[in-house]
Amino acid sequence: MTIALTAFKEKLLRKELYIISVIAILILVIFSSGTGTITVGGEPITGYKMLAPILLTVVNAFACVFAVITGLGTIPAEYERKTSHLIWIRNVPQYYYHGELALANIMSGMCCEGILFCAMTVFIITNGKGGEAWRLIPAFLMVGVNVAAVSIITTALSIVFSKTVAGTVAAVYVAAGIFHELLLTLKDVIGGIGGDIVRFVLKLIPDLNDVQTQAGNMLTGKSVDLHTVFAVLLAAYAFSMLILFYKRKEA
Amino acid sequence: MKRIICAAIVGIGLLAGFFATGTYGLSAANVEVYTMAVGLEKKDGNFGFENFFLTDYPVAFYDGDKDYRITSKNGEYSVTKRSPVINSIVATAYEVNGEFEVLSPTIEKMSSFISLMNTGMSEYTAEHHAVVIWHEAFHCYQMSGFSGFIDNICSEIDEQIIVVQVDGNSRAVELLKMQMQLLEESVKTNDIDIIRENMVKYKQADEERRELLSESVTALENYYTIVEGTACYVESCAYKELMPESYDEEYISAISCYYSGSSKYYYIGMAQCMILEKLAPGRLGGYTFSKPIIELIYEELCI
Amino acid sequence: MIECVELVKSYKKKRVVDNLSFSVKKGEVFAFLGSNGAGKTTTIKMILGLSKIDSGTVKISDGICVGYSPETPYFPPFLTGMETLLYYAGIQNIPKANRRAEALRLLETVGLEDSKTKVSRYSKGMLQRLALAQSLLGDPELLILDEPTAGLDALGRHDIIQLVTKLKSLGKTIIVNSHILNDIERICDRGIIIKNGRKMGEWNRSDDNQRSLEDMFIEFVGGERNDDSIDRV
Repeated sequence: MTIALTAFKEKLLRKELYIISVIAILILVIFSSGTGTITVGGEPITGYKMLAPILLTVVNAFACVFAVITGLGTIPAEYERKTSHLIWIRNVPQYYYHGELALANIMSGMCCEGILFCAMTVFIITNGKGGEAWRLIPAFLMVGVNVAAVSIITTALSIVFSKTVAGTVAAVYVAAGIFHELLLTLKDVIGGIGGDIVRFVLKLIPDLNDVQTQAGNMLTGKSVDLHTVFAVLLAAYAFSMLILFYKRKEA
Repeated sequence: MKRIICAAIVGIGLLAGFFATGTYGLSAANVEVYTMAVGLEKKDGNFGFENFFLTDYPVAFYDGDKDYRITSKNGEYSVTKRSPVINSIVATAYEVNGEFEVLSPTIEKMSSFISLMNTGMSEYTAEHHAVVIWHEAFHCYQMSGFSGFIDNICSEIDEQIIVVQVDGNSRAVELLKMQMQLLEESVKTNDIDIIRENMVKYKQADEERRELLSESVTALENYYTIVEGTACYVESCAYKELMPESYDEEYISAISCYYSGSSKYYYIGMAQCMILEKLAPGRLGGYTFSKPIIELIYEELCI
Repeated sequence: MIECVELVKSYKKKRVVDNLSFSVKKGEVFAFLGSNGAGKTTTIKMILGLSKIDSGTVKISDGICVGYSPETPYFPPFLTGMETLLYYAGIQNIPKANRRAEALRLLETVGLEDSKTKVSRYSKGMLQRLALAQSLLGDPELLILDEPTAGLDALGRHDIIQLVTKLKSLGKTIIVNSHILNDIERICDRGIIIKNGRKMGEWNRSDDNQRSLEDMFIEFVGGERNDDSIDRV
C-alpha cells in the first residue's frame, strides 16, 4: 500500500478535490435551503423524499467527474516524470504498480464523495431525518461503486492510450452510463440499424444512473435492486483486467 | 498464476451476483400492473360499455429487448416471449396478426421515460400504468368492433390542424374555454336543471364556434372527442377505483384546463361521457361511436 | 558482472543503439561516454529493464541487487528527504525495523543531514544527492549512476567522487554515465565511447600507452564538438 498511500496523499494536496467539492456543496446548499427551490409541474419540491434523490444525483455526477479528472492523469504523470523508473528497477511488477495507483485514484474519488456526503448528512439532519442518517452509509457505498468503477475505467484506459484518447473514451463512457436510460429510449426512437448499434454499445456500458437511483431508494427507505450494482462492478472488473495484464514496454 | 486465480475467483463471484440479482422474463412489477388492471374487470362489461373486457386483448410489455405477451383466461394468465413488434416508447393499441393488442413499455421503461420528459409527475406507479393499460385496451375495443364507424368520423387526422386552426383562432378559443367550464360545472353537479341550463349555453357556444371553423376541423374535433374522450373516460373510471384520493385533481379539475393541441378533447369527451352517464345510466352500453356523445346528451335533455 | 551483446534499439525507425557490445567486470567503475543523444541513457535503460531490447542480450549475474540514480530524478515534492527514502525502502521491502536507521545513514553518507526539508525546496544538487541515497538502499552490488555530478558545485562533485571511490573500495560495481571527462578520469577504471549508438572506442585507465581521454573523445565523437560535448573544470 506504500505507493497507493503516497499517491493518495499527493492527490489530497491538489486543488481539484477542493474546487469540485466546494462547487458541489454550494449546489447542495442552494437546492436544500430556502434560497432556491426546484419546481416540478409548478410545485416546489421541498420534501426530503423528493430532494434526497436529486441531491444524490449531484453528488454522483460531481464525484464521477472528479474520478475521471484524477484518474486520467495519474499513470501518465508517473511515466512522464519518470518516477516509474525507480519503481520498475525495484522489481515491482507493473500490475502491482498500476494497481496501487488505481487504488489511490479510487481512494481520492471516494474522498471527494465523502466530502459531498458530509454535506448531505447536514441536509438530512436539518430536515429532521437524523434518525435515518445511518442509511447514508450503504448509500455512500453504492455511489462509491460508481466512483470506484469510473476511477478504474479511467485509470485502465490511461495505461493503454494517450491522455486525450483515454479522456475522451472515459468521458463518453461515463456520460453514456449516466444517461443510459435516455439513450435506451433514443434507441427505441431511432430503430433500425442505428438503434441496434446503440443497443449493442449500451450492453457494454453499465447504467451508472440506476446505481445512484438505488442509492436514493436506500436513502428514502424504498426497496433496493442490486442488479445494476453488480453490472457496474463487472464493468470495472473487465477494465481492471487491463490494469492486471497489460504490460507497458517502456518505463 | 496466483494473480489469474484471484482474478478468476473475483470474476466468478461478480458474475454469480449479477445473474442471481437479475430478472429473467417479465418482472414482477409488470405482472403486478397487469393483475391490478385485470382486477378491476367486471363480469357484465366495464365502465358503462357492456361488451368491453380488458381480458379480450393481450397486453405485451416491451422491455427494450423482447415483448412479453400476457393473455388471461378464466382468471389464469400466461406469459409468452417474442421479438418486439414495435419499440414501444409509450403504450398504444396495435393490430398484430389480425388481433388487436395493447403494446406497452414495461413500467420501468415508462417510469424512466416520464422522468426524462419531465412531465411534472412526481412518481409513476403500478396504478398509473394499470390505468394506461385500460385506456389502450379501450382503443382495442374501438378498433376491433367499431372501426367502420370511427373511420367515417374524419378523413385526415393531424394534430397540427387543431393547433393552427382552433388554437390559433382567439374567438374559437374563448368559446371553447367557456364550453369546457360549462362541462366541468355539469360534471360536478347532480342538479339536472343546472345541467340542462349549462348544456343549452354549451350548444349555443358550440354552434357559434363551429361557424368559425371548417367542416374538416369540426370532424377532427369530433374524432378526438369520440375516440380519445371515451378512452379517457374509461381511464378515469379505472383511476377512480385505484387512486380515489387524487381522482378529482387529475381528471375533474382538468376538464376546464385549455391545452394546445388534441389533449383538451380527451377531457371534453370524458366529461361528456360523465354527464351522459349521470343523465342516463347505461346509455353508453350501446354506444357505437357513430355520433358525438354531446348529441346523445342533447337527446336526453331534449335540447 | 554484466555482459551486453549486440544490443539494438530503435525509436520510430531510427536506430539509437546499434549493435553495442561491452562487458563490465565485478568491482570496477565503468564509464559510458558520448555526446548528447549518443545512446548512453537508452543503453542504461535496456540494462535496467526499463526499455524493451529490440535485439541482443543483456546478462547480469544472478541474484545481485541493482541501484539506480537517474539524471533528472523526480521525488514526491511533499515528502522530506527522510520520508522519500522511507517510501522507497517500503517499496523495496526493506524490513520495517531497519528502515529509519538505514535512511539516516544514507542521508549522512550523501551529505543531506537536514532530513526535515521538503523535497520541493531542494536544489538540483540536493536532489542529486537524494537520488544517490535512494540508489544505495538495500546495499546493492551494482550501481548505475546517470550523470551523478551534473548540477553540483566543485565541492559537491568532490564529495560524490569521494563517495564513488569509497563504494568501489567496498567492492561495488559501478556504471557511470557522464559527459564530464575530468570526473570520469578520476573515478573510472574503464569505459567506452559511444557515438550514434555504436561503440567507437574503449578507454582503460591502466593502459599507459593510451592517449588522453580528451583526445580520444575528440577523435571518436569529433565533428560534433560543442559546449555540451566536452566539459572540463
